[in-house]
Amino acid sequence: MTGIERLTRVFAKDDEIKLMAHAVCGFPDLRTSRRILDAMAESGADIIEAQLPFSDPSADGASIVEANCAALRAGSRTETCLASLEGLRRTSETPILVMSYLNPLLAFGIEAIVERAAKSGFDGFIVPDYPDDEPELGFAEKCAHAGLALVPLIAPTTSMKRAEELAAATSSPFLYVVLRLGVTGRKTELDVAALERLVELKAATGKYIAAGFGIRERAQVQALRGVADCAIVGSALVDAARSAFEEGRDPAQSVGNIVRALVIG
Amino acid sequence: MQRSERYYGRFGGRYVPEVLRPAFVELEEAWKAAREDPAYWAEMKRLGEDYIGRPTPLYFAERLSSELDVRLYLKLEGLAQTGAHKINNALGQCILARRMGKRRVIAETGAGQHGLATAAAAAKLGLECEVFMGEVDMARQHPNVFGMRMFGAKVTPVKEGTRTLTDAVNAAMKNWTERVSDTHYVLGSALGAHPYPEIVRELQSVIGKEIKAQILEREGELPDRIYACVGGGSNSIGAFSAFLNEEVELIGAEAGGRGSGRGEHATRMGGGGRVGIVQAYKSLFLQDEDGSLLPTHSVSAGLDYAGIGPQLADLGETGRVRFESVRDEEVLAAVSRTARSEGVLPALESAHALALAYREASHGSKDHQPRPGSLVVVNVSGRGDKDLFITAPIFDRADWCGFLEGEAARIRAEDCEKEKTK
Repeated sequence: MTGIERLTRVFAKDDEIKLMAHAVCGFPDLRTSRRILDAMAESGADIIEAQLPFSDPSADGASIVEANCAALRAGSRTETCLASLEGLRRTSETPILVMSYLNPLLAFGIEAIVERAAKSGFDGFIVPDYPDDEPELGFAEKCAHAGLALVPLIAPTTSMKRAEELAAATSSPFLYVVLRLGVTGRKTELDVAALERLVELKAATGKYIAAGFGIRERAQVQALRGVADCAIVGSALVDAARSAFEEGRDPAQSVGNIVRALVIG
Repeated sequence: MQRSERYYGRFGGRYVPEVLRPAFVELEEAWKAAREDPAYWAEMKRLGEDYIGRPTPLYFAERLSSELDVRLYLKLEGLAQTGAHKINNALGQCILARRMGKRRVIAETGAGQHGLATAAAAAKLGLECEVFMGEVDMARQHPNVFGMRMFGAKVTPVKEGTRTLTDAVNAAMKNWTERVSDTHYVLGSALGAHPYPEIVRELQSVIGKEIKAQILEREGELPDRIYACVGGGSNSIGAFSAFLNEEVELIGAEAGGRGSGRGEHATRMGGGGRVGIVQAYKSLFLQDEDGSLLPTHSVSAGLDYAGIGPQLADLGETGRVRFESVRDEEVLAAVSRTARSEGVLPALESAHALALAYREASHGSKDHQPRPGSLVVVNVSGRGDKDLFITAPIFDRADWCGFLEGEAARIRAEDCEKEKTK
């Protein structure tokens, strides 16, 4: 089964809202990070978004930036992160999306990273600084060819017409809809207009809708129920891992608890 | 838009996140309209003369010329308003912001010169201004922090990452994603996503155009060589662009820092940089095997950056511009020599270009020695007053320390006295 097929199956399973859990690979250290990933899968996360640590994560807020820096300081490398995700894949069926900025992928080799991801049974990529109109790397084509989803991001500034074009051009079964301006972290107030936009996007594009940026609480996930197909939670989980780690508690357990609390069902 | 417009050889591009795409489309349209509008350039010329102080002098360095056996001219950009060439771009972009109906500008700054220039231009045009500056840079460049505040700008410390220029760029980009509708991002160097490299080059190209006119008037011929320091590359591309199709040797001086080890320098072109896409453009970056940017070091904060403008990367790769690196100690010696021989105190950044020109023209120099009597121009991009807190502890350590302690004590005593009389 390809990544695209596996992701589609997750979304098509039932009408319940899904949860995508985000982790920074190698944070707070490689061993704990692996246990956090396991805990996410065991606690019922439907999709795992695992970020390759990078020096300049330009779409992320302070919490995830710091987690990137800490992972790099702790000696995390692209290779160790991939190996860790391969370990997760051996014990779990949960789809794995590799989130990365473009440069770490470029440094690994575009061809090589796509091949590796397909071979390792990963399901796709989320790359916030890879626009659709700088195609010479051929990344999107290579992903599609390998059956991997390259998930398009839809911003609040994206017009409906452009969203339709992006959706038509992608082989990803779902879109990553950014709920507000700015960077990751700060809690998002889900107003009526934002929720209506999600419904409109789904109708216009025919894709499943995953919504994220500033989703931190169960009430927000509930508000997205019936409006989006998936809620994306990132900084809240990174924050939980950080405070547990600093206070000598088990980060994996803390993250697992939050994921369980957010999963509705 | 043609893809080729965004590229210089294999470098450049517009790798912006989806949220900023409309802002870049808007900026490109506004820039194209301004570029073709004689009224825009007329305003730049008028304010260039009245406010910036253009044209800046092309000064014949008589004593150094005879010492080095060349005809050496210094382009004194340090005499421009706010002390460096940065104002050429800052003013041009603030006028552009006003044309776009933006009431707020933001900027990143390393040494503080671009922040200072943007704050001044924003004050002059009545725009709100916020400058992002790494916490480390704020601590070591405090006079410029004060200067920006005097111009009414808000200076926001950046506490992420290495807390220097590269993090300030990220912070400014992030702030822009929150405020795209009312804000223009005044990028300070000839890098970033298209159309910034072009905007900054065109606004800085006044330097090279003036050099050309001035040298032809003085010497009746074009220079043999032009030297400029290269951080991101705004002063160098500004000085070089009028000469790209002329028989003039163009030489860029990079920060050699304190050594060739990892994190000790900012020499991207001398073999250290590898192709990457970071901060929305494709160029050569100092990076590790996994694509993370490496820390850099230079005595001059303005050259302390891991990337280089895409056009300069291309000009370097094709051999049109020759790049050399200059270490901190050579830079400090050049500051001293220029000050004592010519009565010109250059910025540490600009002293890289001077140091390289002195090195190559010295008696017994093996590489690239100019023939006797060569016509050599060095772009002195800024003046050295801003470096007081870095150079004074090096050149005049004991006295400087005494002065600082004395001043702190005097201010405290004054406050104490005021308290008593209350």
